[in-house]
Amino acid sequence: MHKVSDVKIGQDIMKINKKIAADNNAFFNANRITVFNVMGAIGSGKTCLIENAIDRLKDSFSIAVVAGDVVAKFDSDRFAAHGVKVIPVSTGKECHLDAHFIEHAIEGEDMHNIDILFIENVGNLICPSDFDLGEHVKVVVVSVSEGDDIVLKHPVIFKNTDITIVNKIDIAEFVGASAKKMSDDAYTCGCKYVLLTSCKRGDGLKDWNAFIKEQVAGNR
Amino acid sequence: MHEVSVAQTIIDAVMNEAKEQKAVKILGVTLALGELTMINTEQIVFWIQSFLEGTIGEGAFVNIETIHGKVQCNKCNVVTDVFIEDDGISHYIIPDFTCGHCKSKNTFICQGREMIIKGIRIER
Ligand SMILES: Nc1nc2c(ncn2[C@@H]2O[C@H](COP(=O)(O)OP(=O)(O)OP(=O)(O)O)[C@@H](O)[C@H]2O)c(=O)[nH]1
Ligand SMILES: [Mg+2]
Ligand SMILES: [Zn+2]
Ligand SMILES: [Zn+2]
Repeated sequence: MHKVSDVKIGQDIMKINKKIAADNNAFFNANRITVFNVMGAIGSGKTCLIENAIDRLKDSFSIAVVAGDVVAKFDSDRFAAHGVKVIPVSTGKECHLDAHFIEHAIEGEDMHNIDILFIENVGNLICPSDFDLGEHVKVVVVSVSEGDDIVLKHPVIFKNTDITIVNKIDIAEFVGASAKKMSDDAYTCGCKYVLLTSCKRGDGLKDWNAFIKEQVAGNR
Repeated sequence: MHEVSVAQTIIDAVMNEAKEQKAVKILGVTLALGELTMINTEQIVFWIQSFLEGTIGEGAFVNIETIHGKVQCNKCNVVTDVFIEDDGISHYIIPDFTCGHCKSKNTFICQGREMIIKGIRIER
């Protein structure tokens, strides 16, 4: 006769990610690396913003980039052209990076001379917010072409984000979106700081650069 | 969006435990999901049941309990419930993280991001 019983497991699968993220963070601190997790909408300008930061900062800092994407090759080739260390991470069918991907990406890499690590996350405003990577700074990039309701549609990712960048403001009038509304919405959702930028025209890029430097200085 | 891989992780843990318990059948799986995780509960149930097909867990019930979102205020320290507006169609959540006590926006999420495998019901 079979006996039915209830067995307790009580395992939080998010804790596995949190634990690895804490280990990654300890590694970054031990090596004095300031890590930026650059999340954001698909095609919003994450790669362009990181490329711009690299060009402005590479004379003063040693920079590395983890290029996370479903197929990482395209963005990693773009970063490599700027003469920085690039670690491509193809996530395949996975729609986000998690701490485990990062743990593997950095193991075996010589990181102890690196000052700044940019991690470009997979373009999507939904699940990257569930997975800490061990970063110091959370960046979320959206652009006006996603429409100016995009922030309010995805409030969770803007909560506790260190900086939201509203990009492509050069085309705001053509797509009929208000960058100001997007900025207000990001503050409403609890984001700490918002910048309006255009990688094409150059607006806000100095401030983006200054923000990165401040974060690095504050992390030392 | 990542319900498939989350379901796979849950199945691995469930199968492990069932084996350790020398179960001949898995009758049910109970999960507790934080309502601020970006997990769609209907999809997760679907994927878990699909993965269980053809195993000792085929036909098992999947029971999902909700862990309510809570924020703690950085200004007044009070913990309050996150008010969640459910659009009723896709169950996509629109949470409001304002402190329920002093209305400050300066809060942090202290509950609601868990994905807990609470337990399994088995036959041995
Ligand atoms: N008009 C305009 N176009 C921009 C701006 N920033 C980026 N773009 C263009 O937008 C497109 C996408 O830019 P990327 O930097 O590749 O965006 P991404 O977020 O890295 O994209 P994925 O990695 O594919 O999600 C490119 O064609 C860029 O040239 C901007 O400020 N204004
Ligand atoms: Mg990119
Ligand atoms: Zn995902
Ligand atoms: Zn308060």
